[in-house]
Amino acid sequence: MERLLLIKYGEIHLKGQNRPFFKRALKNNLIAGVKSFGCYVHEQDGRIYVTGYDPKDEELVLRRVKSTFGIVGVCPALAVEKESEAMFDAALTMLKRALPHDGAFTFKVKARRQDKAYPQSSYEICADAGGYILDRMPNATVDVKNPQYTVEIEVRDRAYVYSHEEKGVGGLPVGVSGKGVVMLSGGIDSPVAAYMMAKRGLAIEAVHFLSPPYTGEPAKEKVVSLAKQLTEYCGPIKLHMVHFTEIQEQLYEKCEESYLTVLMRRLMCKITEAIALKVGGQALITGESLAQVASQTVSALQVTDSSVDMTILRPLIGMDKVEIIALAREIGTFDISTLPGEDCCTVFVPRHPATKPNLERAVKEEARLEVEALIADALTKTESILLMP
Amino acid sequence: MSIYFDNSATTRPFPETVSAMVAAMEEGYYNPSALYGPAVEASRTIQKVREQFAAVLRVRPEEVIFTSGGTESNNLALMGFARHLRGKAHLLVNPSEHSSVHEVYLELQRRGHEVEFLENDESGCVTEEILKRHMRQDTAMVSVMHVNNESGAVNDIETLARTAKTINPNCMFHSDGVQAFLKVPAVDLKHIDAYTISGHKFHGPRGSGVCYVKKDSFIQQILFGGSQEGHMRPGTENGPAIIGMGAALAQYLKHHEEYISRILAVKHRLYGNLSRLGGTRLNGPMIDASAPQILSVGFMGANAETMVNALAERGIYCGTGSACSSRAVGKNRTLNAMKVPAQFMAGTLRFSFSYENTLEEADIVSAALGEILTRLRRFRRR
Repeated sequence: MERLLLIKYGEIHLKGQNRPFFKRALKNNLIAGVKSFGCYVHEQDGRIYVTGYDPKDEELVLRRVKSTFGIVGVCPALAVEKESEAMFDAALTMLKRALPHDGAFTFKVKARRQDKAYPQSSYEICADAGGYILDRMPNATVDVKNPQYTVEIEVRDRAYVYSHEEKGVGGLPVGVSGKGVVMLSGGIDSPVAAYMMAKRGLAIEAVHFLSPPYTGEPAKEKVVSLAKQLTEYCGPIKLHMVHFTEIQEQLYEKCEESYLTVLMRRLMCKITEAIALKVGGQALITGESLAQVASQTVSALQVTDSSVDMTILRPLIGMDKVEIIALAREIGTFDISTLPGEDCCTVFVPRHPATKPNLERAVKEEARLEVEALIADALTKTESILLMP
Repeated sequence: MSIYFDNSATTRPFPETVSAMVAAMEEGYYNPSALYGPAVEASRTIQKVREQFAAVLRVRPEEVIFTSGGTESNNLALMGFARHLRGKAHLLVNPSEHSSVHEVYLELQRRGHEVEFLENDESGCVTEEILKRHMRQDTAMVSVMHVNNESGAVNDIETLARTAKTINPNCMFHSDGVQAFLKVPAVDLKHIDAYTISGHKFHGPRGSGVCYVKKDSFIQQILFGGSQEGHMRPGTENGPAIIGMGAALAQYLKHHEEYISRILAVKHRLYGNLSRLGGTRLNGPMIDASAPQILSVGFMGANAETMVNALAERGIYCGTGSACSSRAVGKNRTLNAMKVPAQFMAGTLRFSFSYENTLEEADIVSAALGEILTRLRRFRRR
């Protein structure tokens, strides 16, 4: 009898010729995620198994596995020989483990026979296992329509027995879609955006803009914690911290005030694109949500878009703030995002930002700066750190 | 080389503090409540430190309770007295108290008591006249700190306590002495029921503190357990911290005059330099009336956090408001209470000094601030 996690993966089944590629990526991500627990990960006949951990660590391993993109469900299971007595006994054990108290309860047994050479049919396995349990648990009643507990037996290379399934985060394995570079502020939105694109298979690198002395050590510490929290889902993240003060000061001195924000966004995108090109990224990711602030109106987004060639992915574009916050809480970034620590000094926020900036005008304003030189300079002053889950 | 001008946040332990603590951990580690020789010796060592503090405070040794620091001491004094309060009691508190007092009063308010906030005058003090205006015959508790941690304002707690007791002899008068102890002349604690001290503010270790509890006050324990500290503070005594704090006290007393005059000289030098920069304001009392180690200055047209960051880039460390609250969101109680004008409030820095600071450091800091201000004032929010 061996304890293990039986993993069900979702959308990957729908893939055609690429399926092996997706499965390999998922398996590799899982291996990296549970490596520190000394686990083995193997795949067989449409299931992935995580084995070899200390049963005391099961909760922790389970949590890690559940938060791996590409997985729809995880079942803590027992693996036994394909032999009635062993299977039924395992079913009894799992059922007992699921029960919160000794009172009366209803249950059913579900069986799936992938190994068609096994002598009993699925129906027979269910009936016999149910009888075995009823004989040993006087408080139990069978209810096949609406049971409180369901014990499942899958007959495969071995027999796998489990009594409940934990929902996984779904999505596609990180990395199968390529790599995206997220502009990570210290706010609520951008970590959620990174999470959502990682869910669709992008590996993530992050860019953060520092403006010392207008921003300080706590702001930096905060963005590192945010990136670290994201690694739980996205895997390793490289965080690039760009010194942006010089650019902000020049913008302030040389350009039209109402255009400051949109010009700042353009420059941030250009720098992020330059970093993406260097690290093999294929898309930029931002936490913009339509009309949330002045720089996120349709016209402002157009002015920002035209600053780069790379696609800008904006997964939050149609979401309300409350929806974003709910997701931020779910993935554990909300409490970090709301810590004090300004990420962009209010000095450089115009009193009345243009809500309908005009591209021609923006380009003209931008031309007052030596953009190429400023970007090159900012890139040389960039610190990069690698964060591991 | 860094310059540390944030000594009201915490101080660097004296080498004497560290060596006394190492010895206490390596050799005197016995539980003072045990019955064998070395344990009794450990208990005796702690008793000696108690007597040291009693002598400086001019109180009885059994009135000196060792705690984990200022926050615990303030909680012990206030919650330990509030245990007796029934119904809706009238409580008075200085509006610019440290959060370890302020928050206790807010909690007592939530528990149904009537908490009234006193006012501060422009120098940040509670005057006798202000207290008289609010004090009632049924006022049960009064808290006024000895020295304010942000402005350095010194309250005349001796007079305030006498005034309070004249109006209601049964009220409990508490004063937070964390920033005052050893920095301003000791006061007569005759009318004061509780006075609190923190070890790490005078080069002792973190996790050490004193709560003076007057013998006939009604303050009782808030933790339950063993009979240590006369039942007032159960738990195995933190021998190394207490001994370290005692060593710091001895060291400070040995050089007291020298330390204070050095601190004052640095403060005067820095203030003189800064006032020449223009657009500055001294918050709190006149320069000679405040506690020697604290200097609060407002700078027009600059943001305090930005200045702290810019100074830190050059290895200069000072505070915005007090370190305990400077990362907390919200307005600054002390600066608000003494009505610092808005254009200076956002740009207020607190410099606080120790015997280790020099005049040269003061010159370096003011020169750096001059440069920083020139830059920041260019980028004022339009």
